[in-house]
Amino acid sequence: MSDTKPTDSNQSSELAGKSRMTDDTLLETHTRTFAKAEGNGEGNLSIPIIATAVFTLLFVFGGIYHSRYSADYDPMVFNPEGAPASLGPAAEGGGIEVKLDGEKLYKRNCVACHQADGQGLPGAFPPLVGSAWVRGEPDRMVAIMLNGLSGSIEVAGNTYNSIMTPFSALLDDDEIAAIATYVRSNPDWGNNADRVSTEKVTELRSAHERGNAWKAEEILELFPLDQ
Amino acid sequence: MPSESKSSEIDRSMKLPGLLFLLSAVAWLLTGTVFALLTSIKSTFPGFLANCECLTYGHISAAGSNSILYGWGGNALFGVGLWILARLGRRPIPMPVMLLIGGVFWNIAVTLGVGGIIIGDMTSVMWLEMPSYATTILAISSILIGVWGTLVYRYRQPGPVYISQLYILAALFWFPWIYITAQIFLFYLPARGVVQVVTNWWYAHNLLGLWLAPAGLGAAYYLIPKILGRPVHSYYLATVGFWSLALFVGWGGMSNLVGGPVPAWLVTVGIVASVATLLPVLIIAINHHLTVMDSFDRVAADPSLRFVVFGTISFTLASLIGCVLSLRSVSEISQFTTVMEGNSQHFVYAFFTMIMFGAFYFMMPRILNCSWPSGKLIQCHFWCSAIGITLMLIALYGSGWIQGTQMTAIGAYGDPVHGDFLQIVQNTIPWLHARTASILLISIGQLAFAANILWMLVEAARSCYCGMIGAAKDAQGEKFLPETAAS
Repeated sequence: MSDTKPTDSNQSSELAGKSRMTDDTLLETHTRTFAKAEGNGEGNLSIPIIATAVFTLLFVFGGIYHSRYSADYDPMVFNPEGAPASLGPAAEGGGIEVKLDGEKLYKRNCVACHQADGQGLPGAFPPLVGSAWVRGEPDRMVAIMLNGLSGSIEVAGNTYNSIMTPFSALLDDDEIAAIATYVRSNPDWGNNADRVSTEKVTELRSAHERGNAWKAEEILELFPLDQ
Repeated sequence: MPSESKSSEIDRSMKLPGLLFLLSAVAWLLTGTVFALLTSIKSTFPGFLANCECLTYGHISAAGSNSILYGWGGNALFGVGLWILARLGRRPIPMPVMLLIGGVFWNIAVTLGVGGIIIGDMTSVMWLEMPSYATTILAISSILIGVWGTLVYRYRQPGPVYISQLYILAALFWFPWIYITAQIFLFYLPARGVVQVVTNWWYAHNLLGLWLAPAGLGAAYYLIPKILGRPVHSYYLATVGFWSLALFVGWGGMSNLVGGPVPAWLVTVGIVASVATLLPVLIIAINHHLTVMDSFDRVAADPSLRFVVFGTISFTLASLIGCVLSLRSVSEISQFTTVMEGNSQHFVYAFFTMIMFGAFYFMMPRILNCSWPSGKLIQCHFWCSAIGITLMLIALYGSGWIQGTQMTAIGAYGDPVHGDFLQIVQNTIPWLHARTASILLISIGQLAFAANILWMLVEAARSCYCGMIGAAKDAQGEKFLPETAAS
């Protein structure tokens, strides 16, 4: 109980008894200060001059910073330094170009006959690797893909005899364009022809609408092979 | 003197709830510090205790922050806050048993919550990790305690009102509001997308700024003039300080979202609000610092005042640093580093906790009517806490700032100067060792604190027992206390 000074004793500590305020005094003293300050101006109402300066600076800063970086409360501005973000062409209704994966479509539709490596099967299905039928203008290849082909066909000196099913009812124009582009521009297969546009497929589809598959001779007549 | 008997009557009405809140606060403080110590050791020795899922970093880090915020922070705030409310209302607490019920359920909720975090039921939201079976109880008990605080204020003795009452009442009112709002927007009717992040930062910022801070400031406003026996310097500014704090803090949290996927104006308003918080901070600094300016010898001599003044100085510093950290150019460097952890420790420990320690040293002798048994333990507590937290802040601010500058340094060709990320991480290791050392030092101080409290309880129980024998002899029954608390 009678420890040194730091011990807070509320019993008989002279220091405490003399200088501490009771709750009543605390409340009354501060209320009086307040009343005096609010009263006739005789009280000490002055805010320290430095504080006034700091308060002013704070408000000036707040105003300037706010108008400089708030971007007029635009919900689409994420970077105060930059331009408003856009939702992208899809959300805005513009024509968005969907990049279809030609390789994936090829694997889904073509590998059964032409094989994953594009070499085909001897005697039945001709190769796509290094084939003159694939190179050059895309019309020939796309026309075959749309309507199919039956009978014998000579590719790179070998003859193949089988049937290719028409894909015009199975694949969209952009899917056919994606597959044709993949086959024609695949560097692993030694092909580096131009890409095929969806518009080109649309055009060929309407120009060569027919009920039966092509014969190889018909194709060669319309679209002769490059020499 | 009538005021003497009145205040002792008030203290008696607060004795049981006060003891419940204060003792559970200390228990949670020790628990939280153990978790913090383990967390800190794990950040330099990842293999330490890593084989038990319950003790992995994610679990104990969240368990630590929840123990400190809700266990220690909540209990200390309720105990000290309600006692000050009753003292300034100059009426005993009506039906203190309701406070006991509220307090018991609050502690059940925190126990369930921290236990749930440990066994893996935690959510992923910062400072709201407690599972839903704990949060409902927590919210309801906080409302009960808040309502009781309002009743204490409502049925005060007619007469003047002091600024501390405003601050404490606000803290009691704001917690249920921010807590329930955050729970609803994050878990019960989850808002979509980035609104969740916005809600989380709004909550985290307000938890410190609208809950712990008002309680700490209210206690400081009460204790400083009372112990020094001198009115607060420029008291007429105090109300402006209070209302501007209430106005600006709520917006400030958005400044943490710099660079995030939120509209720029939201961040800008947050930054402006954070900077504008300097207005209340400056007013509070004038009130607190200028009042104690020329009596540092008495501050050094008084056990409570030392802690309180350390806390108020920390409040000013933490707010100034927080204001600078909110600016875009600074935030780009400090974000996601230990600087941010340092700033919240600055608020939670160096400011709030230190003021609460001071308030405990002032309040405990009064509700137990017994003096502190050991001055040496108080000395030990103060110096270990003060040096420990200072060391921790240096470690966290230092390591974070170095980490941030190295991560963002860009060479002449737009290439990162410090390309090796792991090297940057390794550079922080010495600082993290320093943090572990600082937590050890802090826990020594806390053990001294807890020992002193236990010792005091034993003394109080003994004197109470003697008193009861005396009272049995005394016909009037109430006179067994040798002398009642005057102040």
